[in-house]
Amino acid sequence: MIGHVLGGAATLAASVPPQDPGTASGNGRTVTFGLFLFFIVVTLGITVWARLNTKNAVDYYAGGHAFSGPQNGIALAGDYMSAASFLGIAGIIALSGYDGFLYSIGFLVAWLLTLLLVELMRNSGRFTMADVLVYRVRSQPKVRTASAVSTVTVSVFYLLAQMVGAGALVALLLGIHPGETFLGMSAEAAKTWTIVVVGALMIFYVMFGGMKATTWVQIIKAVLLIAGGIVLTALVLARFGYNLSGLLGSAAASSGKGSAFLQPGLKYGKDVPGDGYHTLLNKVDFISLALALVLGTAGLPHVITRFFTVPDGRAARTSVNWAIGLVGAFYLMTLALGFGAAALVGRKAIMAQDPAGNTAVPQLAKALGDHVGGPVGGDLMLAFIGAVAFATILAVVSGLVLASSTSLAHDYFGNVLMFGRPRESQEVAVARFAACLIGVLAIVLAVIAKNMNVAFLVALAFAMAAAANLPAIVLSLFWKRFNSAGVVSGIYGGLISSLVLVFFSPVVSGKVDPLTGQSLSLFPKGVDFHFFPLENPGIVSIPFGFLCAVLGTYLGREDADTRRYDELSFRSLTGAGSV
Amino acid sequence: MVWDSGPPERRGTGRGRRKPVVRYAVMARDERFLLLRRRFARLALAVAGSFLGWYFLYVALSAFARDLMARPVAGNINVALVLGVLQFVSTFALAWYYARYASESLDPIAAALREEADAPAAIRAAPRRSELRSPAVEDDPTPERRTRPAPASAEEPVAFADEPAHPAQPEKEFEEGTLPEPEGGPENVPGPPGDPAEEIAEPAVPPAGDEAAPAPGLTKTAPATSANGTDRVPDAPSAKQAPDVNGAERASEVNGADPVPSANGVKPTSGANGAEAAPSANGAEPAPSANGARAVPGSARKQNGKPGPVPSPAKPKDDGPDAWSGTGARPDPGWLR
Repeated sequence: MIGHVLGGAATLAASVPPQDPGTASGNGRTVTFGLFLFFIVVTLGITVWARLNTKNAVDYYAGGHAFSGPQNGIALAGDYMSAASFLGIAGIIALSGYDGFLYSIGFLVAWLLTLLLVELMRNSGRFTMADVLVYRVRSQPKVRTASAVSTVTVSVFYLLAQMVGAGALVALLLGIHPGETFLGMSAEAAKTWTIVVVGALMIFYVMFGGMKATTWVQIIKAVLLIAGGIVLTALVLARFGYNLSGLLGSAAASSGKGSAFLQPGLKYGKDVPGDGYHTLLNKVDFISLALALVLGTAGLPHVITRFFTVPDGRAARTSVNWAIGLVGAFYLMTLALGFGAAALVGRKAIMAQDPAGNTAVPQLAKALGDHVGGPVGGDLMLAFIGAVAFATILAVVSGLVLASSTSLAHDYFGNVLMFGRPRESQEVAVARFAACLIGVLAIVLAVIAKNMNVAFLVALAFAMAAAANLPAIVLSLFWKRFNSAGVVSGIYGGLISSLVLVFFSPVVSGKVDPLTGQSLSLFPKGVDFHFFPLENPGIVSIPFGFLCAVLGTYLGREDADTRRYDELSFRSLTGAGSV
Repeated sequence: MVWDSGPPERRGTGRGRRKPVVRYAVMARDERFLLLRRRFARLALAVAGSFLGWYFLYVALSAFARDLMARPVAGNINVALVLGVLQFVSTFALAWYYARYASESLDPIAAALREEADAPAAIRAAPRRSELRSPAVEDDPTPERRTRPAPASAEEPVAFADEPAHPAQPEKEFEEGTLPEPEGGPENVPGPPGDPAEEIAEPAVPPAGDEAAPAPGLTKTAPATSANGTDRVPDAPSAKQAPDVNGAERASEVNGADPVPSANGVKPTSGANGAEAAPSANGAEPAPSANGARAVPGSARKQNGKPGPVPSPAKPKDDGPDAWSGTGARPDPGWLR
């Protein structure tokens, strides 16, 4: 079906669409589209190869535990740097200056916590977070179920954010504005089709290629992303004579905000003049976001499943070190990209394309390409960055679908429904089916939500991961007294508190743009049932998750299995008996 | 579940969860392990404390000390930018420091303990449940253990003689002793669990061993039924063996065992086989060539020719959670006892 859709689209592409003054000219679109197709063909080839080489559950879930540390590190970086962080952060920097940098620092620093946990988890787990959690508890089914619920919830929310973003983004990259058509599609139809095609591809990768295909897609994406980042950064710096101060000055000047553009406070933790309460709320909200970012990464299911693709704890450590290097290098480059876009493209042009700034980098690529190689150069650069963004989206959504289908099949089906003894082939078949199910669910939800403002879902996913998964992981590994009741109450407590707080927060209802009077929330203007003042629940829900885990442990009236704790501790630190 | 022939009575300890392995709990009291744990705790606290403290200091400054952050340093570069970039620098530095400290001060201890714990000899010597005085452990009696009385007795004494007690040393001689498999020279056998030489390669094998494992299934079928019952008897009552004895005792056993494997031929060999046979499944993978696992397939293929399910390959991995049979679809009779 994918082939059919794309094949049809490809023939249509021959009839070059009308020139438009937006991001992409007709030629640019054709090149962009051609690169998309090229990427799709290559990744489909990889998927077929991976399918032929996936013989059992270990291959499917964990790529046979056979990726090397550096390979897995590159894939981790590819898995982690979503379009939100690639285009989103650069866009925030382009529009709000320094504050985008705050975001990326949180994303990076979080990896240190991951580094501390990764070896222990790799040594004691096999495919999923639950494999680590159940080792020492007395009630496996409850813990498995809780862990699967949390994994799927976090993944689906994150997935939704990515897919909705993908729809809007690809439409923008192809330069389709409301009212225009491309290949006979309006912007709305293009969004829907993008979501469907992205969803179908991700289902295909995951169903057939499992972890091997997903990993290679992520590796390719990471390499493309870093290469694109290096090229653009070099071009930006060259434009300013490698003078960082000059770049910053120029960006600040054309942002219209002067030196405030280079300081924190335009977006996060805004000062509200004369309103101490709201100023404080804004600042607490910002700290809450920082907390979720820094503690969430180590609990993200699609990151955790990647830990298990390497042979041992040492390789897992190496891979996280690689990921830190790549992610850090890339976020440093976003600094140049964001300020470069502010300086060279200008706030007005970016806002005209996308008020959220997501197109800042593609526009910058076009501007730089135009400068270097004329219109052709601009089209090529834009097409390249567009393809990178497309690859980015696909790599991340595949990782998310794989993580949740792995958890559903291995944790829930295999170890709860089947009491831990399904046939291996059965379990893998269920995993493939679950991938299809979750993929379709995500497509449907994303199509429904395609015009909603769902950007908050990324921060929500991080908050849930930090509040639900992190307490369970950390306390399982380090607290002797911990038990099943603690795991279960910690996971549900963190998950539910995050969801409830967000539901009653301004991101869902009641936030109105003071200037335009438009609703900035999920619900339209006029609906307002929010009572939790913060947009990011982390500062409440993360401590609450830990609290639930501790209280559950003591109220659970269940002795901890201290002998198994000793075993877990021995195993996690030495890697003995690791599989 | 409907079509699962086995009664669900053992819910909760299915293959999804690793079997308890008593020797790990015993070894968790080893001095070296305590040292390892202390060092890791210190390291983790130091790293976590410093990066979290520094990061939240930075966040707090961004939120509440904007005048400070706005102060120019050079040209348009201000304090905020410098501090932000320093976050990157500190992250890289801490990651580097952690990796260096871990590989210098943690890995050697961990490797020694791991090899000791997973060595065939240690596994044979494993039935130490008693020492833990933990009553209700359904342990998965390893075939090694069961067979131990008979064949092992022959060699063990001899071995004991050479290394009395260098608990830390054994690894070195160990792999030499263990590896001499009948068919593949040691050099073909990068994998076997006790090989400290390549730390990366070493663990690369186990996973494989596990997945190909015709092992656990088969192992369990035969002996499990009988052994299970009998095995359980000793553990409950006997609190005799004090944990302190263990260290020395185990060490000697480990050392002593070196010769055993080769001579014994039964399990250590099979153990090695399993490990090597495993990768054959993987053998096809082109990509991860850098991997230690790479070396394995060769030997794997070689041994694959052999009839196959040798008794207990995955021994060291006996506790592997889902020791699926290599053939994949075959329900594992061991589970249905």
